[in-house]
Amino acid sequence: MATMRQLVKGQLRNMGFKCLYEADQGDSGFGMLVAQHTAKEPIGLVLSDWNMPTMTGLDLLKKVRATAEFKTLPFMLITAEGEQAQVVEAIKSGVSNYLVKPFTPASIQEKIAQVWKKHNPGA
Amino acid sequence: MATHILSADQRTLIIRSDMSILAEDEANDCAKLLKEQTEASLEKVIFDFRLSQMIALPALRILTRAVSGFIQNETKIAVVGQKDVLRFIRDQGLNRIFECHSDMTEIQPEVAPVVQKTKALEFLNTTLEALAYTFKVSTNTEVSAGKAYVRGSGPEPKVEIAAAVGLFSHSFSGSLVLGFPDKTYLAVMSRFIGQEYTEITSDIQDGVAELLNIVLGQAKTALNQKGFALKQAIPTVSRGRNLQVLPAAYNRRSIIVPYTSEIGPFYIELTTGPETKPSSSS
Repeated sequence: MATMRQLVKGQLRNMGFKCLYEADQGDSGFGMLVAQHTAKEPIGLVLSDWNMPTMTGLDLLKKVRATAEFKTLPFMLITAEGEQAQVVEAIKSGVSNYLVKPFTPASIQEKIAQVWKKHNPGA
Repeated sequence: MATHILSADQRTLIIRSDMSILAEDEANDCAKLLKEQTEASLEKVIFDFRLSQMIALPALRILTRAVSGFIQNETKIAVVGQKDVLRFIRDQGLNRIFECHSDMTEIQPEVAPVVQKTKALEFLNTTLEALAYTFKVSTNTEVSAGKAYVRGSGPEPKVEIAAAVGLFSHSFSGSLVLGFPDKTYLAVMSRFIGQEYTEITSDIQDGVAELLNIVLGQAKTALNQKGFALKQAIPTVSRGRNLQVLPAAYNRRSIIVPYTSEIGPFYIELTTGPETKPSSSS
């Protein structure tokens, strides 16, 4: 949803991320990943909501992991439901980290930092 | 763990299990709950095993022993469950003791409203807790629930932006509305996103649905652990002056809970309906 994208973008800016892309659907988000990869300006971190109208965040994650170029791309899922079965499914599908709403600014920044540092140890 | 509900007239006891496989431990829990009611003059004991996919033979024997005293007192005993559970009971020849049903309304139509009312109350209480938690964490705002009232028996809430969502489960159905006056909503969104908003733009219009989703996500996790198997539709957002978001079946009774907070008032409204059969909607 637009509001959640505003919230997440604000937190990423506060952390010093400058080049932010946003999509309102899973499939358009995947299109952006491919386009940026082709343009040699690859996206370095994906934050996706779980509930989206046409392609869920989990479906997007599976599609990303099924694409050779994005197998190790840091991918975080944000969801309103913290049921164990969901978490297990996301982990099995290769999610890098998982954030359950509601969250505080500190908790989302901490999770993003964990994922970012894991994939960019020198950064 | 098994739970129980006693009907308002104290004549029907419903013992419910959330276990997918009903084994001896769970049957012993059910028997214990039953034993606590030996002094009651029960007309019916209903084992609500709709979430169980199978029942073990030792568990069935425990239940058979547990109900023997009630049968002598002419209490009717029924099991509501999935077809495999009911078939197993019949295969054991125990359907002479346990009436087998696949739906609560088959046993005693008047039980359904009792179940519905209890479920609605449980849903509402869990939702109120989830709402307070959501506002505290995501907007750093303490909110206080006022006295709930039936729509029409108290003031008409001032709502200018609202999100509504349909809810379904095999034991409960209804809709939930979260509504705000514009002024409160702008303050909520400013805190939620972390930047000041002075008008409701497209960037924040769906925030009311996002908040409702978060509240329900919290509530659902807690409720589904109690066997609700609750599913929700996608929330829809409405805007307008003096908005009244009517549920799909607008003749149903709804409960309004007014809230106060340091950033202004807002409301939730719960409308409940009759028990529904399991749905594949999500």
